[in-house]
Amino acid sequence: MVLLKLEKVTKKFGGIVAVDSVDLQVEQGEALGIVGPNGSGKTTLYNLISGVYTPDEGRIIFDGKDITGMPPHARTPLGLARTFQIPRPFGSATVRENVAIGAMFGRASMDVEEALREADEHLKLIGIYNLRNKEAKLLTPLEKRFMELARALAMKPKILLLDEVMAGMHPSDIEKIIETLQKIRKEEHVAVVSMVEHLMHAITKFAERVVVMHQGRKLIEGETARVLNDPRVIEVYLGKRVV
Amino acid sequence: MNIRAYKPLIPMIAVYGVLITIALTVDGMWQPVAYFMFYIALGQAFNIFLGLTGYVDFGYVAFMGLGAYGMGLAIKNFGHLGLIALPIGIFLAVIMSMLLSLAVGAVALRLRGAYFAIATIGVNEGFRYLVEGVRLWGGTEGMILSGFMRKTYGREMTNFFSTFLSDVLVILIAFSAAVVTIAILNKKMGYALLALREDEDAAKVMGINVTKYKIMAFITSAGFAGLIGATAWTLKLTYIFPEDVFNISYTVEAIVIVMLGGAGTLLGPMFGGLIYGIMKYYLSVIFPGIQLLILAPILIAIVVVFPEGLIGYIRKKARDTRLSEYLR
Amino acid sequence: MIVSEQLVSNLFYGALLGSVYGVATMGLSLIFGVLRIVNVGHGAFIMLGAFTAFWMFTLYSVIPILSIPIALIFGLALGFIIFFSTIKRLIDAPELSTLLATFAIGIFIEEVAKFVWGSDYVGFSWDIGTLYLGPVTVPYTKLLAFLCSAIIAGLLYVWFTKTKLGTAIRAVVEDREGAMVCGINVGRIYSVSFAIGIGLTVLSGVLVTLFVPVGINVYMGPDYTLKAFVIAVLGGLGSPWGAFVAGFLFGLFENGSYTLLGLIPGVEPFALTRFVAFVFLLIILLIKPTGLLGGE
Repeated sequence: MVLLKLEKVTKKFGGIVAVDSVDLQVEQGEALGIVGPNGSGKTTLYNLISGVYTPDEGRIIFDGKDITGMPPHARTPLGLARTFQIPRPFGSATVRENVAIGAMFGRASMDVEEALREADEHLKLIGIYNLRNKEAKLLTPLEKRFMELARALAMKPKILLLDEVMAGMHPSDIEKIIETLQKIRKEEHVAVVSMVEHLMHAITKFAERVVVMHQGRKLIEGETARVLNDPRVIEVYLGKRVV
Repeated sequence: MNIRAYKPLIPMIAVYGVLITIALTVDGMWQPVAYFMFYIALGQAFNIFLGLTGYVDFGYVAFMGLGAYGMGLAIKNFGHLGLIALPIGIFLAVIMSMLLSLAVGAVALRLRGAYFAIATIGVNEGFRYLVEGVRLWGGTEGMILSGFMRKTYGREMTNFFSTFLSDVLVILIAFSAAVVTIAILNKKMGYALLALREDEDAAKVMGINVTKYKIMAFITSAGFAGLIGATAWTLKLTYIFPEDVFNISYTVEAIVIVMLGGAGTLLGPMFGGLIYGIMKYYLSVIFPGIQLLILAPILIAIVVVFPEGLIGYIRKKARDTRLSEYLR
Repeated sequence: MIVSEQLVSNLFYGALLGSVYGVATMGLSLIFGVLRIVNVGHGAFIMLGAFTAFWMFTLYSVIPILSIPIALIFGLALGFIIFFSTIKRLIDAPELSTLLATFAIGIFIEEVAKFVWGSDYVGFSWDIGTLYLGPVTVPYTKLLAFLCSAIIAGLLYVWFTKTKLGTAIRAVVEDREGAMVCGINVGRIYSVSFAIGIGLTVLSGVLVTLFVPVGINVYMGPDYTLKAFVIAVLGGLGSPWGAFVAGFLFGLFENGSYTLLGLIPGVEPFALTRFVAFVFLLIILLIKPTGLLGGE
């Protein structure tokens, strides 16, 4: 079943076309990788899906609903969750409160008590339970990434949009996170979209399908191994073989 | 409801108890305590907006002013019906201030930071000049109610209003505002406000309807401001001048109190109001006319070196101890 | 007819005053443009300029025009002192902190001034004759104020576009990070811009006295702060040139509307003009918060 569908979505900033007539489909429970160099329009794409921007042209359908013009806070409860490339914790709140806020206002829509308990579960799952009473702004950049992941998971989304979430992580942590993601995909049919600039290795291990973005357009899409060896992709990455 | 989450009200009740006991037992202390309570109420009410949302409303005093007029209009128009004019006045004060806040909030709360602050100054000044410009509610001359009140209610009753009843009502308003604050903090709304205060765009993406929560906090805060205006001004002073009730210095005092005690905390406004009230009261006795000269550097110092305020600081130090249950 | 003559005369007067408003707002806009700080205590600096002119005239018989450089130097020094003692620590602080800090600085200046000079209204009269031009009668001092405003704005423009430092300031306004990457010492730009902003504002206080020679008072500032906000928003917060043009427009509006509202019976035209100005402010903020004259 198609969960998320973008139809000819375009977004311009002044004269620059950041996202140019992009079509995209994400299936329920799918593991999709979006790869592209800096400035290829990936982050704009996420901002369009989560509602930070509204597209100039095109439509966005989520779970059968047209969400093109919806404000972000109305989209999230439908089952969207995302992380940010540069983590954006609620700094003076504790880690536990940060994750609980996810559980309260995401699709989970829990009340306060329940959300705080849920937060503890997710903190254990991600392995940062020991940090739960720390002010979020005091975390290291890497810890903030883990926290954002826990916060997104606590929202109980149908689709999880990850933005460079594994960058800079230790291989054993990546292993663990991929395992967690595969688990929620299998058990709760959550679609996971992971956006990366580099780190092709993790993508090949995780994604079933890959979309490569270049200059605001979809350069190519298809099965992971095939796409990453496509000559056009190699060209985009300065002629280097990427896998 | 989780009773344990309301524990921080215990130290508050204790402080109120001490203050009221002093007021009732020590000769000549009722009026000073009432004076302190006015500032506590002011801080507690403003904190619901300023502290919880992080938005600066430089026009906050407009809601107090409108509340004052609400009570004034009720006494003028319904005074002949007897004491019923007072509850009508309370009602009018709340309704008028909340309606204004709804109108202002619906438009101005779409603005952020500096733009919001400038817009709210505009609302307050604009409102004052409207009252003066079209000679609304007495225009520049304001409303002087003392003669009318003495005629209608008798000298003794009027004195009772201004030297006792208004003070008791202010204490009740301060405490109610505190109870509302902790209820908000303990509910989803408190977490939503915490998130939007930290990062409004991220809060939106987390599914928080930031506009809704900002307006809710704004209206609640404005309603309490209206009540303070109605009781601490109209009922106590028995006159209303637009120059006084739209005077931006009350907004500043409210900001100082909230910052001093700790923005967004429950107990901050109480300690902030108490410290500020005591300082202002005794400074104006010892150094009349230069209170502001002393207060301004204090505010600068707080902002620069002590931005989390008294309670914010203690809370940080007391984290992970049993004391933290009583601090909010 | 009398009203139309009065209107012409008032509009002319408004244009002259408007140019002073323009200069009095440029500092506010410059500081906001570079540091993203709204100087809520803006008017206090105008008050200091007005007192500079007053004391120089009464004590040393220095005419206000010659007080302009003195006020500028005084303002620059004050700007550096305030920047390094307070503002520097608040550059990356939340907006709440800078709003409160500048507010408190304004109050502090007022209270010190009151402590030293008292709270009475003072004034001086500098008379160099009056120009009669049809319905328009205008003292030469006001024409001179207009001339000075135009020259100051012009000089500032040249300085911004032709000098290295001026160009660097414009670069920081455009793009803070970009400027940093280009090797511009952003910290220095902050301090210099803040000082120039305050210097301009104190200087404008001297020009203000040519319009309200007897309205000098330690609490005269907030009134100008509010006007400056309206003007700055009109001109696009952060754009000193927009502010100058907007000041001009505001002067025309203020005096024109005062004359016209005076025709309505039973109202206070003075208060109502203010009311209309604030309604404008709100409308502009809502439809185009970057200002009618500003770009992004």
